[in-house]
Amino acid sequence: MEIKYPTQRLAYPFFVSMLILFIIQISFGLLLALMQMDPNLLKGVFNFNTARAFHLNLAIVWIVTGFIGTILFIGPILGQRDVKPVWLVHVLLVALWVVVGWSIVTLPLAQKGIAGWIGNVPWLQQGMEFLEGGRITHILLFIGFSIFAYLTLVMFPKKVKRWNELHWGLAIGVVGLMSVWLFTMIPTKELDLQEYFRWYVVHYWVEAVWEIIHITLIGFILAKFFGADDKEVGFAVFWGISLVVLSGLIGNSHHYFWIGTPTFWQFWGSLFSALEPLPLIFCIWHVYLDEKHGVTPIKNRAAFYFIFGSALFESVGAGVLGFTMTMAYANLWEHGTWLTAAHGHMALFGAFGLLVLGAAYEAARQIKGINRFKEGLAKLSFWLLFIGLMGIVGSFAFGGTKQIYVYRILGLDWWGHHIRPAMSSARVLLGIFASIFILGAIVLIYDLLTLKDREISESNQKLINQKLTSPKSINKWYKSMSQFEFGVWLGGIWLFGLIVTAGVFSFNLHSVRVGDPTIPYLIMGIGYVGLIIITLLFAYRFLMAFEQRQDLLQVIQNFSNGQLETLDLKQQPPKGGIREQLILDRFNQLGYGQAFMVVSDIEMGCQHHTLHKILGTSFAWEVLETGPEQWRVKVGKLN
Amino acid sequence: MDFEKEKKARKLAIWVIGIMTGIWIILSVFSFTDTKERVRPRTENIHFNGVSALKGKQVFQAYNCMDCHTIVGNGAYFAPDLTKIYEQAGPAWLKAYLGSPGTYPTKTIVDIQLKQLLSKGEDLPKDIDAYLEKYSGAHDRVEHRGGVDALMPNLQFSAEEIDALIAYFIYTGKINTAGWPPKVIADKSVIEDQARKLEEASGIIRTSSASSAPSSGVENNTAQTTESPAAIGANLAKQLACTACHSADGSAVVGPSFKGLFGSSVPLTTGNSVNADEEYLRRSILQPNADIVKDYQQGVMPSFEGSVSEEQVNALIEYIKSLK
Repeated sequence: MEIKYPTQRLAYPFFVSMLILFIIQISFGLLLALMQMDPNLLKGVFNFNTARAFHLNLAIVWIVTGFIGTILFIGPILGQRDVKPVWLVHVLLVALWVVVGWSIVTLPLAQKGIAGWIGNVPWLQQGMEFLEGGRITHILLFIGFSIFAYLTLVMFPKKVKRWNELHWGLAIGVVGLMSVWLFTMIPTKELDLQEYFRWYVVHYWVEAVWEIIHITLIGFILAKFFGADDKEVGFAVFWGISLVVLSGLIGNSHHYFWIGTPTFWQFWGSLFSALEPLPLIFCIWHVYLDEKHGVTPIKNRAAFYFIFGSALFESVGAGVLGFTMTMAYANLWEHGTWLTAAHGHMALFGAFGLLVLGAAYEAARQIKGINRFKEGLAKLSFWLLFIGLMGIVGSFAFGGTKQIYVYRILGLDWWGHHIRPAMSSARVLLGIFASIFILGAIVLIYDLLTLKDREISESNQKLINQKLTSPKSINKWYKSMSQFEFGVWLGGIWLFGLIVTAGVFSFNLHSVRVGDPTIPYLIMGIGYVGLIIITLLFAYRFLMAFEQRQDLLQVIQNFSNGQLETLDLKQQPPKGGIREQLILDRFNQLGYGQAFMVVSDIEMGCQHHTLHKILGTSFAWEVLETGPEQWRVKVGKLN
Repeated sequence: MDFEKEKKARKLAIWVIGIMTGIWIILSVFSFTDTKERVRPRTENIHFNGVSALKGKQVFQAYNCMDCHTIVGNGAYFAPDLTKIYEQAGPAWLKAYLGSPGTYPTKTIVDIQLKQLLSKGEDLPKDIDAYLEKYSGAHDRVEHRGGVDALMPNLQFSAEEIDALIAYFIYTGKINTAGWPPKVIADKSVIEDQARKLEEASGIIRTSSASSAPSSGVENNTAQTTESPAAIGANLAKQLACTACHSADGSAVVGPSFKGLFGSSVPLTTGNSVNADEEYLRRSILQPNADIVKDYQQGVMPSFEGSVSEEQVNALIEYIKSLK
């Protein structure tokens, strides 16, 4: 896909804003990590709670800014019309920075205890985790969300009947983003009600609305990248969204176990939130299927790295790590410890952050009019962010496990300086990996903002392409991944997830409760380390197979038509499977990255279908001529 | 793909979502409806020292306590969970601590707060030892950390805000958290053993075992008559936790600094000024709310009337005089 509508370019300033907010947000993260190591750092000047308020709020703001950029970028293609009015897009951008500026002024008021209470309404800031802004911020944000929803909907066909699943997905997403936000404005007099509605916003955003946007955007982008069928993507999007709502609607009640609400929520919350991974597994499975759909090389492999990472971390961070702590008798121990932060970081940045960063890469490529760019820095930043995030999550998991033992099993408290020393090695690890993460972010931001410098000219690209020749043998690690193998990897990830879950549950054992932590330490140690290693290996394995497939597609595309041997089917009987057999015989003689030409006097849909049944997605099928006298297809062997 | 079948399946999915929304609403309404067995505690019905817990909830939010602490387990995991803090430490310890959260209160200062609460008619154990027995969290904190610096920043809560927070913690203590956090059943010796190991690892010394800062018994120390009155006063200022709020180096903590105080002209909230002579210092120790220094708040400092002897007041004055 290349730029088709001029207003797609309006997305660019949103992506730039996103990157600025992103680096500020993670700098606060690093500051928090340093404050964890030295709790007296900046104490009384810039307190931990204020730094954390910025860290959380900016996380939400930059990701939403990324959603705005992505939807402005793809919306015109999806709706087949420009966004209008253009001035309103500019208003939205200004509104975004006004909210950010206003938050910079108001959030630090917490250090002086100023909330701006009038009656029971906090106008300046309200000291509620994730939703720290006050009523003025709420109203500004609501206006911003409304403009965003309006701009999205005006791009879509006027007749709702003409909407497909992607239109519906984004429409539900942007309207949901706006409506769910209203719950933050309900004044409450009791803590239980306050928390009840706070989770409406937080949970229904990240576990419903944002996931709906996520699924739709991934579906759309991959359909464009790999030419997947609209109907198939529609199917995946509809059932993905339905599964999200079916599990996540009542799944919200995993937040209502201990906040003063009745105990029946433990049943409902445990059951439905344990089902929440289903749509996430469904999603990554479709990413796998879509990637195999491509029959010509894509122009932006780096963007796919990020999008795959997003689906993977959604599955592991939101799905697996969420599952390990969601059932009441595991949550009893995990609740209020660093284990929550382990899950939160991987789920929020991993799933949503990586998606919008991937979208930013593709948008930047198209908006800057780049055909292909050198992807080294992009991929380097991907792996740095990947390893940094894994380490951050591992540190939180390690610290959280020790925290459960000291805080909950032994009942020691912070004031006695028992919990801090127990977690001290985890804090050092946290600082190290946070630094790696930031390094990755700096590389990414530099790369994205100066992407034009890494443009590859057409002649250079040709040289690069010509250098690619079909590999004689294919490395095991680079071989195409079968559905079975993909399933085994996912199964492995879940196996370690279940081990972690067992570890969290094992805090209920009598022997542990009387003071011996060996069992949970051992089980959770194996579980978390295994989970991190298998996720890394899986990502490497998957992306290398993807690279290999793309290379082979390029090799096959390189063959000029004259270079290829021709299999002429014109003289063969069209029925009885003879033509299919001939193609198949010829195909089986090919080495990886080799190809031949098939010429026919009728359309070759049937042959393609048959080959697909037998060979799966291991062949390239490039249609070069479509009648009326002759049909020509280039058939090549992929790994 | 069979389109008719798919259409039917999709319709069914939308129906199921509708039914689940219904279940959700019913369960939610039931959650917040009082029944005979289960009555939700209400912030407006709970008061401490005449201030309601609703006000306390607002103070708790205004200072964004949740982004360091946790409450019902939600928050930042950087500081203690506060849901049950009232049950653990009780009002006298909380009042003493929140007055100057940068320092853990000593037994003496908790005692002073207890006496004042008792004189206001609060229903509490009649003496400090009984209080510490009832509120074991206060006992442990006083024993282990009395008089040493806390990690919390010195937020300058007003007297009303402190009472409001205590009312709020009474309220949060009444919330039925369904058994969270789980009860500790490990043996005391096991806990003590692990606690010692962790303390050794981080070089933390308990105040009860440290000779430099004894946490109990003001009388013990005044027996050291060989020292100068100013030195005795300095020691006393530490024990009474005066130094938690009043610095000796000129910086403003919670209250005005002692440095250069004696003999200076002190501006008051009334707009007048008063000369900081011995009489003023004495009055400020015994009736701290008589004159409030400009930019500081009323009711934060407890009265030391009846808690310190005449001799000790003099020693404190000598100490303040010595800080020029």
